[in-house]
Amino acid sequence: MALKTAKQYLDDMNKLVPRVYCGGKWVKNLLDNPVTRSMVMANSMIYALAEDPKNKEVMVATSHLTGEPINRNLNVARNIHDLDMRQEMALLTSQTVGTCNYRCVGCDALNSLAATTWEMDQALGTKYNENFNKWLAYAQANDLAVSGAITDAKGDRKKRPSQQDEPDTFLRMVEKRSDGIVVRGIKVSQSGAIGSHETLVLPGGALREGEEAFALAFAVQNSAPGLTYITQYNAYSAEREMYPEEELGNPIYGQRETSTMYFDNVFIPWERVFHCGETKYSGRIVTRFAKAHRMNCGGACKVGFADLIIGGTLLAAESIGVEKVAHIQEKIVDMIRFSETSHACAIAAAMRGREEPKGSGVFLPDDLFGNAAKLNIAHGFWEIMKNAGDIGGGLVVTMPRQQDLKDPDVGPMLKKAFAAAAPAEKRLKIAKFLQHWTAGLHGPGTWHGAGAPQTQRFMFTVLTDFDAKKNMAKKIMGLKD
Amino acid sequence: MKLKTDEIIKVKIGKKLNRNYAGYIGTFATLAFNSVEKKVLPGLYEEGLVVRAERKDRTLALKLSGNRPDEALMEIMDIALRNASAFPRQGGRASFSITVTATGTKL
Repeated sequence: MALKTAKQYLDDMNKLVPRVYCGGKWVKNLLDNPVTRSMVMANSMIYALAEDPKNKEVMVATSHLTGEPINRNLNVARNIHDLDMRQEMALLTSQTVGTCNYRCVGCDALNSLAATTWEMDQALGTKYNENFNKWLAYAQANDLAVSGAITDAKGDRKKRPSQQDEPDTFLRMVEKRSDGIVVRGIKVSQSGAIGSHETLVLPGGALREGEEAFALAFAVQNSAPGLTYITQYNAYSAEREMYPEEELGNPIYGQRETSTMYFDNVFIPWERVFHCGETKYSGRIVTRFAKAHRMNCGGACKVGFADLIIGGTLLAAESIGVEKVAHIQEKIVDMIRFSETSHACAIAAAMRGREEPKGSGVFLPDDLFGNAAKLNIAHGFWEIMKNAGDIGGGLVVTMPRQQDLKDPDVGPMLKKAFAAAAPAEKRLKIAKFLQHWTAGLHGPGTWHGAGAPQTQRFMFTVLTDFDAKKNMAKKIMGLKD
Repeated sequence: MKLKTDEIIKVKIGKKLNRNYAGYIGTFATLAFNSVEKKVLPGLYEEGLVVRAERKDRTLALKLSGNRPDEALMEIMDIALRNASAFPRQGGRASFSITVTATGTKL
């Protein structure tokens, strides 16, 4: 089996029993809990997209290891076209589910590992690339949902990992055995691991000599003993627990669901270990992951979200009869401007991608354009949300429950209050959709996802040739010195 | 390119019941570590379930708590194997084996 169906994925999830704690309860079945269910349903739709022949070019690739068709989420980019289709996949999945493609971080993590394990083996004579390719071939053959975990809890930012008062704030190796390693520590803000078959774990950042215990990359099964997931919980989680799906802004797929992953002495066999102690390469693994993820997360995924917000905003304008008003149209155009310029950066990052490292056969996007995509959308997304809130009106946050329209006492009053150019039911449905986007979790989520903007600003300073720009200016001015 | 990516594990219960599972290489080591060192099985959270676990090279002997019929033991092992990313496989030559018995004491 090379491509799993959505139903097969859901069957798998019915049988997996990870240790998940959500809003005060242990989750016995991911599909029975309304919060965790939304995450699993979003992932199932990613499988369904690959089943649809019209999405084949975007969602299906050919394994460079076996020649078999595979889900693009498990593909290592081998050329510019692969990079372009990768970012198109991020766009399509976001437009379809309006939340995370929870296989996305795993996809970018595996591309980073394909490049860096090859590099380590060349330089150090290790067998990480061989291990990685075997694991990847297994994941591809079984079409596993693979998520990625990168961010450590980090503790006191003034201190290095080994200096923390609480050592678990950074994931580390606590035992090296003949058959594998034992790891301990915490990864945070992890998207979708609960409903994935496996998670690729990467170092959280660059490391120095003496920090070998933290220099780790490995694949871990979703229900590995010792691994506990504590899910995020917020007003939207509570709302999802209280009300039927049709009351919610994104009824089936919900908000982006993340968790804190606590590794309590988890055993990882050597066959699943792809980096262990080589601190010089930890930073490269993270940088290459970021390079891929900023193109996809910043320049395509959030553009798909923007498309949905723009669509919702247009419907909101039509529902009150203001769609032809000049300043409304201007604001809509601004939303498109922010969104499409980010997508243009992602396309440019793909088109200017190149093999890295040379000889590895792995293609990664252009770093500068990828960072530009992410930084642009981080700021642009707030503007898009602002305009959606502006055009959507106060109703976006002052609306009653949609089911109140059916109440025999207040329903008739509410229908009078909110019927406009569209019936009250339609207006409230649209307003709820915009509430989900503009008054929810997406602002900080977009800001921080794939790294906070300060990291992209830093990369701009590293990647930009400032002297070249000064020299160009001096030449025009006729300035010699 | 043909890569060897999986290992076959035979689960043996009593004289008649046995089933093969294929998992990614290292699956047997994972099951052995967790049952021997931590006295737990993947996907199962019942306290005291693993009473004894002993590994000898490529074999693992497990004793689970309670007076459980063979079918119930196989059900438990099915959950554990699937949660270790191993799936039932018809045929194939097993490189590893797990023998499971129950203590026979009332739960």
